[in-house]
Amino acid sequence: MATTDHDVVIIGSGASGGMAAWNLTRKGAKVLMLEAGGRFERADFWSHVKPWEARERMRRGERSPDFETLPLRESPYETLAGHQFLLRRVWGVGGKTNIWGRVSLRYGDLNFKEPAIDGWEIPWPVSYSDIAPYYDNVEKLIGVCGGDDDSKFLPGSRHHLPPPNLRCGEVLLRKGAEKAGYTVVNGRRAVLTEEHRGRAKCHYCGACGKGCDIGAFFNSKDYLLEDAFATGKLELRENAIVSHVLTDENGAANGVRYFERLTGEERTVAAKRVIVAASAVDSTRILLNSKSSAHPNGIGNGSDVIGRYLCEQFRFHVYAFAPQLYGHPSTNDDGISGGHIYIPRFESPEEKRDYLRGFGIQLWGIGCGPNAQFAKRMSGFGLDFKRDVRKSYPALVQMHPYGEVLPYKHNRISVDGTPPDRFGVPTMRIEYTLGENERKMVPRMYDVVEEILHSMRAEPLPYQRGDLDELGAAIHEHGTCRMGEDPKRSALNSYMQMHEVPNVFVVDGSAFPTPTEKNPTLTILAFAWRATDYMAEQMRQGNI
Amino acid sequence: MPQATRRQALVTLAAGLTVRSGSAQSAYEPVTFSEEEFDLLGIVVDMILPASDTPGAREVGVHAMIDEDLAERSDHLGTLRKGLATLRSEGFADMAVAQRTAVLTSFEDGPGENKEFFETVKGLTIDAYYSTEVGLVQELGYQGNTYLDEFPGCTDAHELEDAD
Repeated sequence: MATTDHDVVIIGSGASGGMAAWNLTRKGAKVLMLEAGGRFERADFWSHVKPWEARERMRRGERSPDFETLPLRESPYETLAGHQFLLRRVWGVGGKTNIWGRVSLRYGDLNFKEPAIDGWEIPWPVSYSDIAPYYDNVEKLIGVCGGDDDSKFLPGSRHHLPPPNLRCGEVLLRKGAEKAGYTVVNGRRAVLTEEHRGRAKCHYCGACGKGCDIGAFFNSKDYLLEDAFATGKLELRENAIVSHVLTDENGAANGVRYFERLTGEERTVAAKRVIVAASAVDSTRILLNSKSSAHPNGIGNGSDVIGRYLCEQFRFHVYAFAPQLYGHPSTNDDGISGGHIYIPRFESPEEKRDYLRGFGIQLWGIGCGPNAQFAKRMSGFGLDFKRDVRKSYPALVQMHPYGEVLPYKHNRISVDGTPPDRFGVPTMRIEYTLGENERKMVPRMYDVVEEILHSMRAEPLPYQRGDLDELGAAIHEHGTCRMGEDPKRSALNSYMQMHEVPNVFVVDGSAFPTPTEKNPTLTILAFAWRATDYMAEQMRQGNI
Repeated sequence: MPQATRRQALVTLAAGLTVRSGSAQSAYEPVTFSEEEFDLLGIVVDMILPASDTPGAREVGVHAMIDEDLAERSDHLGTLRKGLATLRSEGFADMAVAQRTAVLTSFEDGPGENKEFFETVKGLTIDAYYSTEVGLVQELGYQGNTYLDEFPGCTDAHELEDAD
């Protein structure tokens, strides 16, 4: 293996890889970052292209940035019958943070303690107090708007930017939910509602999902990599699809193999230390494919936990109308895009529960939107129908509960026996089903949604109790390279360092032993910061 | 379809849709459906979202948008073809509005392929119509995707009892 000037090679440029690069370069480390895709430019985003203008542009042959099809073409995955899993990935600088949902909820003390209490499946190796300072750091760095609420299930923060005003439908939903006894808080999102560290504030165009033309919500490229480049210590190679972490005869990592996407050439870079941050599923693919005599089951996988315990959240969507708003003049309801309120997980002592963990309820898509898809669920056609759609348009409310899926050994990613990609590297198979605990939680979720809608006097659009969104649709994959105290049952220690390979760190969501009911990116950033603080100190001491 | 012909058709479509008149659709040559299917589709989408104080679906070219979209992705095509063939066999084009309404109502309420056809064409019509400036702005009053210095949120007082 050739020698290298780089202190660390980072695989992936999304939230976790970006944080690792930001933190290590500011501490003086020289970093090489490998990114599977190309670059998304702000100027190319269709943030301000109206739906009817989009059609005109398409006719001229123009296309908006293609965020999601590249990984499916380059690295497809297979599922087995009855084990469907929707895997959504973004390859390209910044990864999913280019178009993420921006929900930024701290995990609570209880989220961290519960697995140790109920036995599913291993305890977190950290407590809330370990990670709280890093939540503070991350929120100060990236800017998160939210309220001043503070509870067991959703710890407060002193660093929130002002929350956006509520839409009319949200005002009514909050009143209805509170009347029914549920706590409603301001949503928390990594959107700048005021100028923050020199960055422009949101202009409320509602098009975050198309990429932000001014970078007013956190994304790895603008918020982390820009600073890292400014140190002069970051080198980024785009279109570098990593296949393997390479090891020496003692099993220590000493390089990374990747394929040039545009030319197909195979390349190897030497590495003193490797950070795997390719997002949970692709990181797992790389680790499992990194087999050697020292690591016959994939690098750092003597415990056979890597690839197993895949878990995220399951969710469903209920649409309804707030009759108080029927025929109300239309308003601009874009806001910061997504819900401005949130119903955190709750529990009432008198409630008899037959399931573990719980769920929170997100409330996006409320009010006057850029389409009328809700009308597909309304019966009828013709003049009366058209009038009903117009009357209902400002009254639309939506509820989206997210429930925690427990980690199960049989829910897994594997690479054995799968068809190879075009470089000859095995692709992934994903096997994933819900268990008894999730099935027991679903009726309770529907009960609460119905209770709140009834309390606010809403008129729901037709739905089927028990229906769920596609599994995988929350895009919050975890568990497949989990951290823990016990090296027999986990792959990483609490600093996301491999038990078996001390110069490899895995800093993305795959390290979380359980998903909780919350969106993970804020927590991923906090953990990646903590891990690279530790890593830099270990480097300084000469331990790795 | 050869690339040049298809591009020409789309250019024609783009030109046709800028004309706000009942003759807009005559400028468009379908690239997916036959002329007969296309004319029938125009009648159906206009039954779903007819002209009121705003233009109807046919006038804004919803049937042309569906034709154009299905040239790119062929899902729904079989369902639509089959349903249009059924309507043709029933003489739908020559029916009075009341009869057409009765037929589509029976489709919506009935089982099987006819219901699937109705739901599909209704969904495509809703997607297309409310993506146009007429459908989204003129009909629904959409004001979004603009630049605001502050987001005002709800400025009216709303009480749950307002539903009474």
